[in-house]
Amino acid sequence: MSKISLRNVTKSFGSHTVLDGVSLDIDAGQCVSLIGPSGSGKSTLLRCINLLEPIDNGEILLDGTDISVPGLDANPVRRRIGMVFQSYNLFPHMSVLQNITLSPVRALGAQKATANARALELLERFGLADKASSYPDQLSGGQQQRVAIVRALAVEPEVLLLDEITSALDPELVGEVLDVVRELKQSGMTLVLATHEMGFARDTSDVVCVLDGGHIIERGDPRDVLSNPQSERAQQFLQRIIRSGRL
Amino acid sequence: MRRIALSLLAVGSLTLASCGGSDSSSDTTAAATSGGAGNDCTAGKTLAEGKLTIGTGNPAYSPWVENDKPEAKEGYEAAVAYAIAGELGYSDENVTWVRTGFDEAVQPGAKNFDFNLQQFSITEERKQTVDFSDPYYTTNQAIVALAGSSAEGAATVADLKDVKFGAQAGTTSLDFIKNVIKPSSEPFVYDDNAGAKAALEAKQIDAIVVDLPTAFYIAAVEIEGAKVVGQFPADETTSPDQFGLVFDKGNALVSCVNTAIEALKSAGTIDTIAKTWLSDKYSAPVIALS
Amino acid sequence: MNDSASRRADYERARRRRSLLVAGASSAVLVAVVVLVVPRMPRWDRVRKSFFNWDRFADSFPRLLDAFVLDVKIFLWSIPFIIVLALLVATTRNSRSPVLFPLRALAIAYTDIMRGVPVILWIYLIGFGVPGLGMERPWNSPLIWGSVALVLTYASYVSEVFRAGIESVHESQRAASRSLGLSTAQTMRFVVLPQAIRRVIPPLMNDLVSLQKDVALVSLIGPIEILRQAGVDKSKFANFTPYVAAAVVFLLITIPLTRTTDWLVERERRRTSGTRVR
Repeated sequence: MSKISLRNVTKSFGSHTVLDGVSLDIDAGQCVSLIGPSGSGKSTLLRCINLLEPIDNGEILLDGTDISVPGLDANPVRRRIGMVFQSYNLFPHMSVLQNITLSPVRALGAQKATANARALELLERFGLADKASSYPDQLSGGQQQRVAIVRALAVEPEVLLLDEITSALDPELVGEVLDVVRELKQSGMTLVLATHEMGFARDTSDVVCVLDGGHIIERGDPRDVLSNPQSERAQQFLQRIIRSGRL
Repeated sequence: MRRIALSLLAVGSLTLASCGGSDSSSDTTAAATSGGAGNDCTAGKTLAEGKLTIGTGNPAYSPWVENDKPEAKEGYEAAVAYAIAGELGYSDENVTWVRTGFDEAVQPGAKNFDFNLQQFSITEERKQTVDFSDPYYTTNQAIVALAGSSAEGAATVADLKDVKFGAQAGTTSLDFIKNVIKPSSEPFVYDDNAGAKAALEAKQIDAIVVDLPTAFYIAAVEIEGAKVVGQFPADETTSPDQFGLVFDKGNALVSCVNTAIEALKSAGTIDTIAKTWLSDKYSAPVIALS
Repeated sequence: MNDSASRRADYERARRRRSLLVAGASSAVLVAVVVLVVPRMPRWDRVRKSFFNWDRFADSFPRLLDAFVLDVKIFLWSIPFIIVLALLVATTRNSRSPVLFPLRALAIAYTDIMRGVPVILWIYLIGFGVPGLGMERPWNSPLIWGSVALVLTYASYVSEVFRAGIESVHESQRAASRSLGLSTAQTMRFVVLPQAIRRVIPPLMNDLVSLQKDVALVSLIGPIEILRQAGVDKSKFANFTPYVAAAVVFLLITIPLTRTTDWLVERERRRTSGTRVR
């Protein structure tokens, strides 16, 4: 059984159809990259998976259970499926440590001391232990994004959704974030990323999906998809990527 | 032709001579002259020549002014005002009314009235800033309360110590509460008696202190279930309230008005007015001051 | 690197010196005008006797301070109710669930009506009207119902301030919070409201200072507080200095209040922010 299954998912915003019958199976421990032009629906797809956006039609299954039932309590789902955003979205009025421990203490009911200890452990693991009492505004972009990842991990999710997490970063900071993601993959976390980092997609993902106009137009092994795209749209897209020097 | 012109001229000049302003040089008494625009005494002493401007409250309450319309001459103060105006030689059309707040009338400064009447008690304090005429009414302070209140049955001031009082700001009634009754809890103070009455009806206060006629009016007409619980006697320390007309300081009109009041008193006019508009039977138990 | 650091330091020093000079000179001129010119104006003496009479000031001041205690009490016990009610109304109006529609409509009606009528009218209507329905003492006290009128009126203004603050917090903060598994209520409580309130401290202080002064309106329905006491003194002595004294008492409270809040806000900002753009 797949960890996450999407069956014919449709989503529109008003009259604009963003996802048009998307189906996808993600196995536990897999790293799936979603690539494609802007507006192809990558972000929306991720936001549908963790129920930030309700879908119009279709099903989303987590470990075989339909989590897309309208009116379902989303909170338990979101503790199992975490998300990291392009603009980090750290809470500016809280320190790094408070950012990380907020959900474990309030939503999961952990003891403050336990949560703090676990948070420091995670920060240590990703080289940010000395920033525990700093405030988000005092950190660089790369540090903020790593804190955002740690914050998502503190909830101990089974799946992590990463929505273009390096797009807002300077090139030299991208590396440190991607290192974190690689480490997560190695530790067996199920990952779904929307990304423009083709190198990462090629080297670290198990599956690459190309989205265009709300459909998955191509999917498969990264090397196949990226070197030998079958569909014309995918070819055009990858040509442009290569020309811009990002592959 | 010339004859017609001459006679026209004669008629014209006669007409001109007979109408027109008062030329009272031949009059020596202070009687009304042509036009009802005052007499010798008042000439040059009013705000508007030939007119008498009188101030009163906004609204003006019964039994002092009925229906808030002093022009109708109904109510004790309205009637007295017109009596004085008449005595001074003003016809009704030459009397104008203006409205002022209670407090603003006794503050120093230029006034927009010749005199003002709204139950102003003559006090030494007030004499520092305004001038008063001779009194036109004398009365006592009284207490009006809801039936069954703790103020009922009080025989002396000591019985009133625990009563919650209310009064209008800047009045001798408020001074009376603070200096003579000295209740254990501070009285509530209102901009006007309307506030005090509302508080009484809402039972936020037990009793209001006002002059006797006003107390009776409140009890008889305005508040259901209210009664005049008692009145305070006149004595040397708290002389009875005497109402006087208020003038701005140094106003020369005061002496003219005092002459008029004297005349009305000796003619019995004031008494008649009192009998008409105020009851001559204000019976309320007297509360001893000690 | 060293050179430019000291060049900037020199420039800053010179600039600071210059601004001190300008500030000093302009202040000196202002003081000179007030001290030299004003007393020479024709009616100054009368104005001084009427408004700035020292004997009257000294005589009234202790009485006014005493009466002011009531104002402070009313102010202090009203604030918590105002804040709670305002937060309730603001969060209700902000809610998106259809179930809460009747409450949302009620919140909108409440803000519209309370803000649409002058505070003074509400003091009379609620301060006299409600007890007039037949309550016994002490429940009918004008202090209680006057305070109720103040709370209801001010909460309607403050709720709009909170609402502005809440809506200024970016949607992405809610997205992040919900993605971490926090509920709507928890998101509001731990993520949105703390940010919202910090942002609206200046307009909030506005309303608080305004409240401090409107408390004096309770004098209309009976209780003797500072404004009433000043009025009584004014009538008694036919002098306006008691009002000036009352103004001084008010300022003794409001100025420290606002300066302290500004300082607190600045301290928080310094603690949590990075660099500031010049």
